[in-house]
Amino acid sequence: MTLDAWLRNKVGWLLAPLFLGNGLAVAVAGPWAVSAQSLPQSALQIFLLLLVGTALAVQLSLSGAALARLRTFRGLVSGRLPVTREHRLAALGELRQLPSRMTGLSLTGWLGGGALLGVGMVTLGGASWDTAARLLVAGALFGSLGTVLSSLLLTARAHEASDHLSEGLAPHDVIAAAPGADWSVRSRTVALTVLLTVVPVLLLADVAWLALGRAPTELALVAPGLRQAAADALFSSLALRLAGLGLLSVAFAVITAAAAAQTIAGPLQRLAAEARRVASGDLEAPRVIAADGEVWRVTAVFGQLHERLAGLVHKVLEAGTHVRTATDSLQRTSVRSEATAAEQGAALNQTSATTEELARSARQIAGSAGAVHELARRTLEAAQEGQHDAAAFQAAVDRMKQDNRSIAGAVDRLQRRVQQIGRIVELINAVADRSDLLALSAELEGTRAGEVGRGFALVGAEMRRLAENVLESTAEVEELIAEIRDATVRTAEATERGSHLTERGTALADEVTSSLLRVTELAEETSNQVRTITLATQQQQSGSDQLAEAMGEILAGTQAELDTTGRLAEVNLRLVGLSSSLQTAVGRFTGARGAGSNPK
Amino acid sequence: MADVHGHLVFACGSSLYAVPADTASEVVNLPSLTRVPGAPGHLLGVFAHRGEVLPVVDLTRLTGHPLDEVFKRAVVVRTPRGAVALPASRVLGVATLEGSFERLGDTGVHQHLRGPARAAAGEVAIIDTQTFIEFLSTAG
Amino acid sequence: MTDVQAEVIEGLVLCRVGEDRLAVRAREISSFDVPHAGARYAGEGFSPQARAPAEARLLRHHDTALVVDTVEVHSERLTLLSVPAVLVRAWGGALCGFVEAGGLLWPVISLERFAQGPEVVS
Repeated sequence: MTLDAWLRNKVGWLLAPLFLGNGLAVAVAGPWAVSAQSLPQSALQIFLLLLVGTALAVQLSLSGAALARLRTFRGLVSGRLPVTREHRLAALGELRQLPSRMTGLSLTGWLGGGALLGVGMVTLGGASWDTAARLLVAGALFGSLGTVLSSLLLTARAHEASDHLSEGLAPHDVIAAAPGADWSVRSRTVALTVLLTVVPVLLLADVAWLALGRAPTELALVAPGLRQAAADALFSSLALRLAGLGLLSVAFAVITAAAAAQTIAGPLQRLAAEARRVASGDLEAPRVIAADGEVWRVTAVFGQLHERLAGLVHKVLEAGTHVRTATDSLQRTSVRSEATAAEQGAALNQTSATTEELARSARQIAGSAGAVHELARRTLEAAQEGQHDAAAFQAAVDRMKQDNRSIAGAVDRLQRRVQQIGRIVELINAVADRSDLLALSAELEGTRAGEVGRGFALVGAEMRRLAENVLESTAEVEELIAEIRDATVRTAEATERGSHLTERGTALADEVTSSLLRVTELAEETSNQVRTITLATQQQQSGSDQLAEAMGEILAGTQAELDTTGRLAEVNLRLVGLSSSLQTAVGRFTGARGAGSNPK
Repeated sequence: MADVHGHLVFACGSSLYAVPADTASEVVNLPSLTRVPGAPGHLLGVFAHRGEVLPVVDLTRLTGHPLDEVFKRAVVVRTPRGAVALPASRVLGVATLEGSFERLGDTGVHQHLRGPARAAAGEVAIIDTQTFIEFLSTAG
Repeated sequence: MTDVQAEVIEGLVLCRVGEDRLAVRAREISSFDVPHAGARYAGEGFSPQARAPAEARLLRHHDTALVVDTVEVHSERLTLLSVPAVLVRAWGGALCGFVEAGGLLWPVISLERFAQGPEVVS
């Protein structure tokens, strides 16, 4: 149940004991007044009316005074004030002071009410001032009884309300704001016992005293013979009244004693429950059990103890967490460090191997450089020989070029001659053709002349055959000319190509000569470079050997470092184990946070 | 039938023809020809020769076996009805022919061809020059 | 050979028709003109599919008209060579003879007959 829900309509509940205790006292006072028979029969009704009226007036006044002293509490109950820590502490203070304040007011009310009742009886009921004085005394006696009972009941309720209000508040705040009343249980119990025994005795004695005081007068009115019987009757009546009043007193005393016991036993029971909770490991929300006297001292100390224990356990847990975090971090670092060291070792191993390889390579280079030197020398010789050969080649190419030129000239002349022959053949052809035609015509003419022309025709035919022979021969000559022409064209083309090739050959020979010259230069340069390289390689070789040696030393150092890192990791691991154990041990306590750090 | 005066034998394409030597006036080299409007297909054109215009008659077209040959020579045939030049692939010369001198057909140019006569080079068709030129004058 | 008294022509119009040639007596032509639809093209005499070029000329004489490609007037005296027997009926007898001019042989035609077409036989 939340505090808000519990607070609802709790003002009436808190103040109800005020009516209950005082009401019971009034209820006892009524029979006492009737049985005392100190009032005239006619005034008894007025007395009862005045008694009820006075009692109501006093109760209302007390209620008003109580409400006036519970301003903050009422504000929280009605919801007018927010449930803050300050308001709760203020309401707690009000509740703690309420029982003692109300005790004094209640006593005053009883005395005032008694006096008022006495004056009322004198003026309205025609009672004597003696009677008024007796009523004042009676008010004081009954008032003390009623006040004690209502005070006890009010204390019990105030404690209960305080327990609800103080829930979740820091115990030291509650103790400072609302300390319990400081009194001794023993003295209080004695005082209560005295009150509960002495007051009834006095009241009973008063009843008996009055009855016995009136007895002679009443007996004198009775016939002497009947006096004994009348006296018996009087004593019987007195005995019955005393017995009734006694029973009432005992009942009242029992109720009051029970209420008194509750004011002590209630807090102790709640304290026992708290103690059980703490014992089970639940340190959450330490609280102060509201109580008074020696019991308060115990509950206050327990509350503070609880609070400090919770704070302590929280700090231990926090420390444990820090230790765990730190060790975790340390472990990770250690692992990383180990890995890095291993990598470094591997890298160094590799570097060492590379260095050795380098040293080997350097030796090989030194060997190779020698070979290159020899090679360069041979290249130089070959290139010089090549230069001589290239010069010879160029001379040959030049001769070829000259030959080519003379061939081209001859071919050209030949072509011209062939053309001339062609023209002559054409002319011969034309002549032969014409001769053929003429011969044909002559043959025809001869034929037409008959016998006379026969010889002419024969000559014509012979001429024709001659012409045809010439034509056949010229056809052959033409074919030969065509062949010669083709051949000369091909020769011309070939000499042209040859000319191109010799040109290209000359160019190539030039290139070869210049290339060989360059090769000679390069070979000389190479030879020089190789000498330099050989020198440098020898130096590098000794340097590489030294480097390999140094790398071996570094490798040994790294291995040692790696071993150290491994040991550090082991220690870290143990530390992590210890931290875990600590956390497990403290973790048994649940809700262990700083006192008052988690108000509800 | 005896060949009295002899014949001029010439080849035109793969065929051999002969004209009587007395009507064959001469053999000429063919110059470039002038075409004549409205002339029939076998009449290739005309050329001037010794102040005379000679028509050139293609025997291959006339016999229905046209050749695309460019002729270099022609045999000039002359009759009282006119003169024509007959293009020849080759002129073989004057020869005395033997064999048949009958008409080779009854229609067209064939009725003006006789044979087959024999020459050294093979069978020859003899052109009846008198009727041949007349036929040319009347045929479109 | 038989035609002993050879005719002499003075004034001739030499015409080109495609790759061929024609000649017309100058006195047979009244005017030259641009061709009009319906006038006969001389090229038809050489090839039935022949068509006159764009820059053709029209030879006119009264109602007679003939289209040729180009014309050139030749005023020298020329001997008219006779028509061979095998060509007398060519183009309805429109051929009058031949002349040699500029080293070339030209067929001389009668404009009127030629324009009438090849079918007319006189």
